[in-house]
Amino acid sequence: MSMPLDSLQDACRPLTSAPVLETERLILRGPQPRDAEPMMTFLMDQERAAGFGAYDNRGDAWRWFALNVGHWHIHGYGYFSIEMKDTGAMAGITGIWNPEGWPEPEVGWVVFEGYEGKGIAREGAERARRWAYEDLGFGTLTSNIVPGNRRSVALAERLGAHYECTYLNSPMGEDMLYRHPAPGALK
Amino acid sequence: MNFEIPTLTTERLLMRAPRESDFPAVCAFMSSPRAAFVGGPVTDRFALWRAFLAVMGHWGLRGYGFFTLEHRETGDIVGRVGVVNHEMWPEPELGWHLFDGFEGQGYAYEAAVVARDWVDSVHRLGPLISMIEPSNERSLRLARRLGATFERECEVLDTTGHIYRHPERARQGACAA
Repeated sequence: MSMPLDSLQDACRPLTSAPVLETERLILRGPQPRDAEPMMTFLMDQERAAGFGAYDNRGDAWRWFALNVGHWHIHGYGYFSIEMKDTGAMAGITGIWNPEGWPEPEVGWVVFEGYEGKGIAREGAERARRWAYEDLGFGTLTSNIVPGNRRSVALAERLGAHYECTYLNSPMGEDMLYRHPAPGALK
Repeated sequence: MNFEIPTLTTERLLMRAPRESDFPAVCAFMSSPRAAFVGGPVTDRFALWRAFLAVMGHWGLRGYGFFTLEHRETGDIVGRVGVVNHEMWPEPELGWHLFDGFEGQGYAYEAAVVARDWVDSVHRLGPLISMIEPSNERSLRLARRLGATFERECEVLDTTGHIYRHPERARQGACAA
């Protein structure tokens, strides 16, 4: 199957000024139109997308995709799409997130079905965190984890973050705040 | 930004890209009873924030979207007008809403004419629709003043609306006169 060149170019058009970051196996880049479908599929998965709203219709899921583009424009950061270097497939998202109602900016991550258990979230989140510290000048970062999400707690701890408190996040309800090591502690 | 959001001017208004500083005015409107015909009132600030940022993403994905209307003399944010085509929309729609205190002064008409011309010359989407709830008298009057005519009923976001179809560009001048 091949697409006409102009529609391929349109599908791969950058929608933000996000940089392209690399790790051993991954490319982190800003959202592009071709990411909308895999992202909507993920966002409508009631179990996996619980921490991201878990929408029941394409309209709301599409708006979430569009809102991430707006987030990049307002803050200069947001969620990167995680692209596998070997296949070019989108494996998930990771980045820095700071919505209305959040106590402070956080490092967030999620990998799509079929991509867990391979260290992809860790590889991506570590790179995104380093970018926030080194290129954006952040002095501290948190991660918000819904109580009961043991996979994410395990990853936060592998990333060196420690539990700070449980608080009421007005949009999401009860949430646990993990604090990442400061930039100096990672060197 | 990786995409252009143009700035257009009308006699009294600047039609420009949304900015973070518009958020309080948008929240005030969207959480008020005045938002009843545009999916509101919405009181959840997180949902308001999401929808506000999605306007920018809409511009990136579609190449068109909602303009913020800023009064050229006073700097007041008077409302939003533009063309929207969200996922699950039947087709691109010319939409408008004015914030409290700015209705009845012809601002929506002034901006809608310019938005419609701009989108036609840049994107050639054909005659646009406007979806209007039948009890929304003010919007119906504006649609008719813009030369749009009733076409059919539609279901969007669990509400029944009336689709009004705008005229071909060549006929717009005559209809609006």
